[in-house]
Amino acid sequence: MLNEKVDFDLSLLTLEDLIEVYNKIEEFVEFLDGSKIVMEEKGEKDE
Amino acid sequence: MNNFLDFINNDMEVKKTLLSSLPTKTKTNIKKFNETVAEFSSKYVTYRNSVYKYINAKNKSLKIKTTSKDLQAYMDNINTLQKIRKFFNPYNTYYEKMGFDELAYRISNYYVFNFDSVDKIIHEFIDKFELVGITLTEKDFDYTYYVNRYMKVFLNVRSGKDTLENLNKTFEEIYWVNPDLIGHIEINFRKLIRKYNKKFEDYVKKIRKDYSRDYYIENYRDCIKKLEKAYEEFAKASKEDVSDILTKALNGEFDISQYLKTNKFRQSAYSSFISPDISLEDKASMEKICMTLNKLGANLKEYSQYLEIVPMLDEFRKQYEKQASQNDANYNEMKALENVIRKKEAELEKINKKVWKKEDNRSLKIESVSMAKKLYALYKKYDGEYIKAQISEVLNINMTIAEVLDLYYSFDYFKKLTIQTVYKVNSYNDVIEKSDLFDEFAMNPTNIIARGLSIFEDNNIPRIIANKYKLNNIQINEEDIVGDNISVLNSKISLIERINNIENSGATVEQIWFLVKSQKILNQEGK
Repeated sequence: MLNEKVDFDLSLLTLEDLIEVYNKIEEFVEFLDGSKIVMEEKGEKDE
Repeated sequence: MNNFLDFINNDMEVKKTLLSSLPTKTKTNIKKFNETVAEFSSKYVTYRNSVYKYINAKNKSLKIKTTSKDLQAYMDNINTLQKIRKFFNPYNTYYEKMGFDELAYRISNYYVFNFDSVDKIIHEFIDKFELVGITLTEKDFDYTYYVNRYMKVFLNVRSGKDTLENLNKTFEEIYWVNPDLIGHIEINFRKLIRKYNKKFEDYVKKIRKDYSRDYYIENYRDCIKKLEKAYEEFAKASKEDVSDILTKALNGEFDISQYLKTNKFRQSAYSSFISPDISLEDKASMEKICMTLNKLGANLKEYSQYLEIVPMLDEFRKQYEKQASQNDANYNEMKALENVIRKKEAELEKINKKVWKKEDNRSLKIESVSMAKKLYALYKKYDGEYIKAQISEVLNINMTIAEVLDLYYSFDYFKKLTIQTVYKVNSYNDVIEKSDLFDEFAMNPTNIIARGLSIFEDNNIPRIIANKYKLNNIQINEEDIVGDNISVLNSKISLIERINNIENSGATVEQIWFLVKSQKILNQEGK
C-alpha cells in the first residue's frame, strides 16, 4: 500500500512499470522544484 | 484507473495544467503558486519515498546469489604448460629457449630505453649464464678495451664493490670515444653464448627431463595435447552463468534493455539466426542452437584476432612465397657468415692482446673498435640469414597459417622485427603490446581456422565460416563477418546465449533488467 490518501497496491505493477513509476515521479519532483518562482526584492509588486 | 502508473500519469498532467493556469503576476499570486507547488511536491516526495522503499524491498527479494569463480588454478595450469612448451618447441634452439633472442632484441634497440634499462638487460644476460653454472668475470668481456673497462665496473657494481654513480661516470667517459659500446657488449655476449653453447644445451635437456618426470610430457605433441585440454577446461570453468551476466549488466558491459522481449535488437537477433520454423519455447532446440552459436562465437573471436595479425602474415607471404615453391633449405650463407665472424673475432683477439700490453696505444684501440663495429654489422647480417635458414627448413607451398604462427612465436627477434616493420611502431611498449596480442593468438592450441588454412592460398574466411554455419541451420552471410558487422554479430550471439542461460537458471530477463535499473536508483539515493 502506498499511503493513506492514494490507496494503490504497488505489487500489482510489473517490474518495468515500477521503475517507470519511480522515474516519472522523480522527473515530476524535479519539474516542481524548477517551477518555484523566486521573488525579487524590488521585483513584483502587490497591486 | 487500473494502477498507480495510470494514476500518476493522469494526476501529473492535471497538476501541470493547473499550475500553468495559476496567475503569477503579483506577490500574492506567486506566494499562492509556490504554496501549490510545495503542496504537490510534498505529495510526490511522499510517493517517491514509498516507491523507493518498495523498490528496495523488491530488489532484495529478487537478488541473485553472486558466485565468484576461482580461475587462478586453470590459468596457472595453462601458464605452466606454456612454459614447458617453450622447452619442447621443435622449431628453435637453446638460444631462443633460454630467451637470448628476446634479450638480443632488447639490447639491439637500447636507444629506445633509458640507461637503467640497458643495465637491466645486461644483468639478465649474466643471470642466464649463472643459471647454467657459469660465473662471468671481467676476463670474459674482452671484445674491446672499452667493453672490458665498462664491464669491470659493471661486475663490481653487481657484487656491491662499486657504485652506480661510478658506472654512469664510466659510461659517460667511454661513450664519447666509443658510442657503439652497448652494441659491442651485445656481441661480446653473443660470442660467450657460442662459447658455452654445450652448457646451455645441457641445461635445456635437463629441464626437459625434469618436466617429463614431473608432468608426464615426453614431447611437444604431448604438451600441446595437454594445453588443448587446459584451454578447454578454462573455457568451461569461465563460462558465463547468471551471476556473471548480472554483474556485467550492472557494470554496463552490455545494455540489458536490449534483452527485453519488446526490444527490436532482441527480435532482430532471434530472427537473424533462428529459422521461423523453430519454436523459441522448444528447450532442446534452443540448447542445440546455443551450442552452435557458442562455437560460432569462438570462431569469430579467433577470426577477429587473426585480422589483427594479417599484416604479419602478408609480410611472410611477400618474403617467402617465391622461395616456398623452390623448396630448398639453404644454410650456406649463414654458415659462411659464421666462419667470417669466427675469423674476424680471432683477428680482433690478436689486436686486443696488443692493446692490453700497451694501454696507451690509441691507434690500436681505434683499430679494435673499428673491427668490433664491422663485426656488429656481420652479426646483424647473420641474424637475418639465421632466420632465413630456420624458415627454409619448414617452408613449403602447403604451409598452414598455424605453422607461420609457430615460426613467429618461436623466434622472438624475428617476430618483433616484423612487428616493427609492418605496424611502423617505434616505441618499445607498442612492440610489446603487439607482440603480446600476437602470442595470445598464436599460443592458443584450440584455434581451428589457422590450423587448416594454407598461408599461400587466397582464403575467404568469412565465406568459409558462413557456409559452415549455414549447414547448422544458422542463418548467416559472409557480409555479416566483415568490419563492424562482426561486433554486431557477437552482440547478437551473446544475447541469445545469455537469455538461454538466464532462463535455464530459473531467473528471467525482466528480473535481471529490474535488478540493474533498481540498483541504479538505489545507488543514486544512497549517495
